[in-house]
Amino acid sequence: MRLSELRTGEKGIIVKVTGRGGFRKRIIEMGFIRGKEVEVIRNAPLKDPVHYRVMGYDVSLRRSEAALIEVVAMDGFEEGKAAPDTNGRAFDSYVTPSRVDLRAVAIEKGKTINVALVGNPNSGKTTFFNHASGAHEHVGNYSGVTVEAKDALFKQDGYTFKIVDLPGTYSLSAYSPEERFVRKHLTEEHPDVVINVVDASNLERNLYLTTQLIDMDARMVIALNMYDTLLKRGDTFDYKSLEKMIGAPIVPVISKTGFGIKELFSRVIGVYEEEDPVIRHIHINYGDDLEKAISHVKASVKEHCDLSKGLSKRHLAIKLLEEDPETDIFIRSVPGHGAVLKVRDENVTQIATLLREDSETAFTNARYGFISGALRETFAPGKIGSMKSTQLIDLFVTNKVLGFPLFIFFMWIMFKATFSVGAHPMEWIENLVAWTGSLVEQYMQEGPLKDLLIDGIIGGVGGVIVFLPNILILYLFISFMEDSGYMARAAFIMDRIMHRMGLHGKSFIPLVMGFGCNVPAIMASRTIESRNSRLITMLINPLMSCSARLPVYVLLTGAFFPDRAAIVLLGLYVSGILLAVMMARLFKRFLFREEDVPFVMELPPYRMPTFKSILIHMWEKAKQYLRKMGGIILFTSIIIWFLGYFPLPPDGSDPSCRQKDSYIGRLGQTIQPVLQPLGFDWKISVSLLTGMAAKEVVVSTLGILYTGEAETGAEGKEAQKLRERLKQDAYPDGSPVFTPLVALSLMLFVLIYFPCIATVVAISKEAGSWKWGLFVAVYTCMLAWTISFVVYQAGSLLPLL
Amino acid sequence: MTYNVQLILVAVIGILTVACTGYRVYRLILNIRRGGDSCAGCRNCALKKRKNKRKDCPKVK
Repeated sequence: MRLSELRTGEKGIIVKVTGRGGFRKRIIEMGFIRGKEVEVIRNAPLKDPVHYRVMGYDVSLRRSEAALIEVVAMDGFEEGKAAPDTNGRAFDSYVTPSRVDLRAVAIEKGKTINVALVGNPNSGKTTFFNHASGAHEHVGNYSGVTVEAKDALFKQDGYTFKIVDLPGTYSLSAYSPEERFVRKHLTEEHPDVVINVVDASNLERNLYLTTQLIDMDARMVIALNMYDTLLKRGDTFDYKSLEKMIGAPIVPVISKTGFGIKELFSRVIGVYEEEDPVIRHIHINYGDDLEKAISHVKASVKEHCDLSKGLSKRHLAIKLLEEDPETDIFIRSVPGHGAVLKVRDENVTQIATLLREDSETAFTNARYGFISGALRETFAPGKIGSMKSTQLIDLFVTNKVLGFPLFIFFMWIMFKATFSVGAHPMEWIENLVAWTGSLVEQYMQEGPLKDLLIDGIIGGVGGVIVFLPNILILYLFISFMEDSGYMARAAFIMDRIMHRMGLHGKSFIPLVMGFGCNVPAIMASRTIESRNSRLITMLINPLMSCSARLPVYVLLTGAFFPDRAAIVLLGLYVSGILLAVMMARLFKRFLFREEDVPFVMELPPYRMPTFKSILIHMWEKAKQYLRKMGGIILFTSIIIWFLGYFPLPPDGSDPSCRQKDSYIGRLGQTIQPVLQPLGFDWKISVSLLTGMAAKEVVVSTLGILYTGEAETGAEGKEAQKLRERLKQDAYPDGSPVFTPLVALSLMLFVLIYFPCIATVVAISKEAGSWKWGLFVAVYTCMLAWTISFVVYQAGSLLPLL
Repeated sequence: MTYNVQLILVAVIGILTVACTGYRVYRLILNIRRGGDSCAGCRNCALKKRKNKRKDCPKVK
């Protein structure tokens, strides 16, 4: 808890002093050090300032300043110890915690270091975070993968590190949501130490953020990530001189192998304990004109505004001179702001006159000037041509003639492998499922439980689980493309199309992520500054075919297009993209008329993905898929079986009509007229209805409904594969229910219609209104119906399939 | 296993499934109303549903 939260008369033991600069130093010198007892003597009449006693001295602190001191309250300690044990007796009721105990607790708590990971996008923060903490957060070789803070605990040398992985940001200006988010975290959460992850292969740009952190007076350790790339290029970098120059320790690390991470955290401890010889606060010299302006504004802030001592006045002055909108709002909330703003405006005008550029540009140029000067003394580029292999690959991959065919070719390879290579393990699982079914059939007596096991659980869950290998293969390719840096190239070659669609260049990343799962993809659209572009991206994201739809495609292409499976799969994915283009244009035209914001797409160098990171991706996906099997798919399978099994038919009734007369049969026949023009019978209609929960449920429902039918036929049909049963199903007149045309119409319908409930919820939350979730649900269903109708009716007239 | 025993077991499975599904839907609604995908599952909101306990949610501030 914070010292400001202690009430009059209460005592606490100091855990740590957060905050920065002179204030922190002074408060520590006054005796506010870890393990010391502090007592609240009284509050001033207006509850501010507060009178404290520490080491026998009486000190007055403002509440905002006391909030920067972490303590362990004696009452809190007693409450914690007085919790009853299993016998109902307060196990420590007879022990009064001694000061020694409390001090031990405070010292132990003081060994918890809050660390924030800050750095440019794609500088490897999440890889670093995963390696340090053992977490498995999603990483990729393109910017914008992390969209929200993730935290983890990690222990080393008796200290506990609470690491927060923040989204990547190029600077701490308040323009984009991630910049605002990172800045808010640093100013409000007061991390003890900031780890600034710097990409060693791109020092100049990465150090820009470092200069802003120096301005903020953040206690910082720099992780010089991807140090191996720097060495490979033959560059020489005297980081030891640079660390002395900027007053922050620099440690070379290689996140993907874990090299240097232990040493880095040792330096973090040193900085936290103020024992590191390098750490000191420096001021970046912005040149005479800007420095004069800073000192004028700073003096005015000190004179007219009563601000917390924990706030860096120099940083505030710089931000005011840069006309940072959030700082402007902040200063306007403080009494006496009028005079400060007047001084600021005068100085901004003066800068513009003297330097012939606006103040923000002047500060940016000065920062880059400082970086350039620092690097001139410490960095020498190698003779080996930088990123030669990257440039060579890009010559083909981003070529205006070859770029698209290569992209299509890579996609085709991906689908071909997903289908062909996946067919073998799929068949093994299919045989295992069939064998389990026949085992139950053989050894269990006839009855409803047996039917539930065979038709409901094995038919439903088993019908979906067989597609696990295909999904893993798809993820293998997606992970490879993400980690190698190809995804960013795909974004580059698609950029023109994106702009034609009326979308922001950044929209490509959420759209690509949509091929995996729409939910994180929709969350990833947070990085788009323009609300209109963000909304369009969210609205069209469900048209990106997620991996949950793959089982439906593999089932139907395997049954009806076995020789052209890869082409059909590719066609479906491309159809989704084309429809997204079309819808984006329509939305832009009719719903959101706003000019596009320019965006520079970063092309990271190619990196060979590690086998481990790809395996982690695949393992995470497999876990997620299997969890779905044991959750939503199992539950819906049981419910569908019940609805298909009951009510029990009267004795002597026609067994072939049993399923048709069941609850689900009646439901299916009710909705069938709506879907009949698309070529769907009542069973397909029911599958589509249940598939709204999750797309895999379409397959499990087909598995249950078609198993039910098989039971009435010849013995041994249960062991047949689902695709065979689909092929054999026929209307009473003998015509087949499933034809290649129906299968195509169904796959298109599944591609487009209602995204799963989780996606609708994600859209509603991210858009901030249920209206948008509902809108997506309605428009996708209408679009799916129209497209499937056109395809089915046109296909019926022109019998190509 | 006789037909009647199987029928009883099927009924038990049915009730459990409906209860579990109902609970999951309930959690989903709570999840949407409170912290969304970031719901920590602390159940403060479920245990104290009579009062407006949004402030008790560690994820909603």
